Amino acid sequence: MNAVNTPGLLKRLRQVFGSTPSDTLLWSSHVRIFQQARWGVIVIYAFQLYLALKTIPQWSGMASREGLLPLWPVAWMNALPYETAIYAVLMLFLTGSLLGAVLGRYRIGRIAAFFGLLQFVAWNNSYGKIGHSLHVLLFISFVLIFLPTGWHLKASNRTTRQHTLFTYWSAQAVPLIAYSMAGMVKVGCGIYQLAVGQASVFGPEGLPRHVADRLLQTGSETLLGPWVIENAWLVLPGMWITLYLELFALYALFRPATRIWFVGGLLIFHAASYFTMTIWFPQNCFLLLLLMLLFPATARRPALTLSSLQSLPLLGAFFRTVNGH
Amino acid sequence: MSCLPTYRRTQTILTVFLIAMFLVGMAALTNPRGNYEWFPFYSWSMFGLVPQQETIYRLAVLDSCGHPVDFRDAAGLVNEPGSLAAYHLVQQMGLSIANQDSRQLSTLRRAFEDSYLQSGTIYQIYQTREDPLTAWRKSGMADEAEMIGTFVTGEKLP
Repeated sequence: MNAVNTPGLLKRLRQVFGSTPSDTLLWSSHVRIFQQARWGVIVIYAFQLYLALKTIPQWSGMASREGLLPLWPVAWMNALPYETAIYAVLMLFLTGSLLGAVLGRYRIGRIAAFFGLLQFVAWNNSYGKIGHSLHVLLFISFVLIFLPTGWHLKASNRTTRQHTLFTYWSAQAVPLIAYSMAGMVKVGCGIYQLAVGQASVFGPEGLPRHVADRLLQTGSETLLGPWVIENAWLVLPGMWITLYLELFALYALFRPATRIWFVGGLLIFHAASYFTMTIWFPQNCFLLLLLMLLFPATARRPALTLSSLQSLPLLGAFFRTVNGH
Repeated sequence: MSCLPTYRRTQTILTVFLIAMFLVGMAALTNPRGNYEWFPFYSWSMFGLVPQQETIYRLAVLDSCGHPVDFRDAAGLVNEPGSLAAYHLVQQMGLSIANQDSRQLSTLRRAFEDSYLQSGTIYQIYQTREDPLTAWRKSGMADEAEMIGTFVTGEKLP
C-alpha cells in the first residue's frame, strides 16, 4: 500500500471523515480511478461545449433581450453598443467552451473555458434576478484550471495521477458543499422559526407554504403542487429526508459507499421540485450523476447494499443495529 | 508532468478555495438585497425561511377599459406574465418606492419596462400583506392591497 502525503489540514479531515477516495490504494486501483477521473474531466468540458452550442439558435433572441443590470464580471458591457456587447459575451462563451474541449490539456484552454462560462453566467443573470443553474459548473470549471500538466495522458507518473485525482476530488466536492450549505441554511432557518413560534421547515406547513408561495410568484400551475399543499402531513417525511440528504451531502465525498443513496435521493428531490414548483436543475443533476456515479474515481463502483446503508451518517447506526452489529 | 511542489501548491489553493466557497457563501447571507449572494459566491439559501404572512408587492397593468389586471394574469398585455425575474423586479421596485429611492426605482423601472411591457402601458404597483397558503386558496389580488404608484412605460419620474 502506498499512503499519499497530505498537508496537515487534510490529514485532520481524514481523521474526522475517513480516507479520501484516492488514499492508500494498490497501484492497479490507483491507475483505474485515475482513468475514471480523466474521463470525468473530458466529459465535463464536452458538456460545457454542448451547453454553449445549444445557445446558438437562441442568439438573435438573446441579443434583443432588454433591461440589462450588469453584474460585475460583465460591467464592461456598458462601454460597448448593447447588441455588440451581448454577441461578444456569447462568442466568449462559445470560444472558451470550444477551447476547453479541444485544448483542455493546456491550462490556457481551461482558463478560457472558465472565463467564457463566467461571462455567460454573469450576463445571463444581469436582468434583475440571479438564477443558480450554472453556478456549480462554474465553480467546477475554476477548480479544473488546476489540473496538472499531463493529466490527459494514460501513462502519467504517480505524482501527476495523484495531482489529477486531488483536483477531481475537489471538483466532486463543489456540488456536495453547495447541497450541504443549502441544508445548513434550511436547518438554521428552521431552528430560528421554531424559536420565534413561526411555521418552520420541520413542521407540516413548511413545504406547503414554500410551494404555495412559489406558485403565487409565477402564477403557474403544477402537477403535484396543489396535492402537496393539501396533504401537508403526507409530505412531511419527504421534507425531513430532503433535509437529511442536503445537510449531510458532503459526507458522501469521504464515504464513497454512501454516494449512491445521496445522489439517488437528491435526484428524486430535484424531480419532485420540478413537479411541485417547476424548479429544475438539469445541469446539477447531470453533474451529480457524472461525478458521483458514472466516473466516481473510487476503487469500488457504487452499489445499493446494506453495508452502504450502514455507512450513512446517523442513520447508519440504526442499520448496523438491525443487522446485529 | 506534475512535480511534488506543484501538487502541494494545488492542494493548498484548492483547499483554501473550497473553504472560501463555503465561508464567503455563508457570509453572503448578510446581503439580502443581493439575493443572499456576492456573485458568484452564493449561500445556497434556497427555500430557507418558510414564508409567513409578509409584505409583498404586486403589479397590475390597466387594460383598454382602465381596469387593473394582475401581471400574472395579463397574458396578451405583457411579455412573460409567469416570469420569476419579473416577480423579483416588482419586489425591488416596491421596496424602492417604500424607501423613496427614486434613483434605484428609475433603474429598475427601465429594466422592467424594457423586458415585460409595451410602449404606453399604464401600470400600478400595490403593497399588500399576504399569507401564501391563504392567498393560494383564495387566488387573485388581496382585497386590502394599497396602491403605492402609477406609472406609464417610458415616462420619467418627476
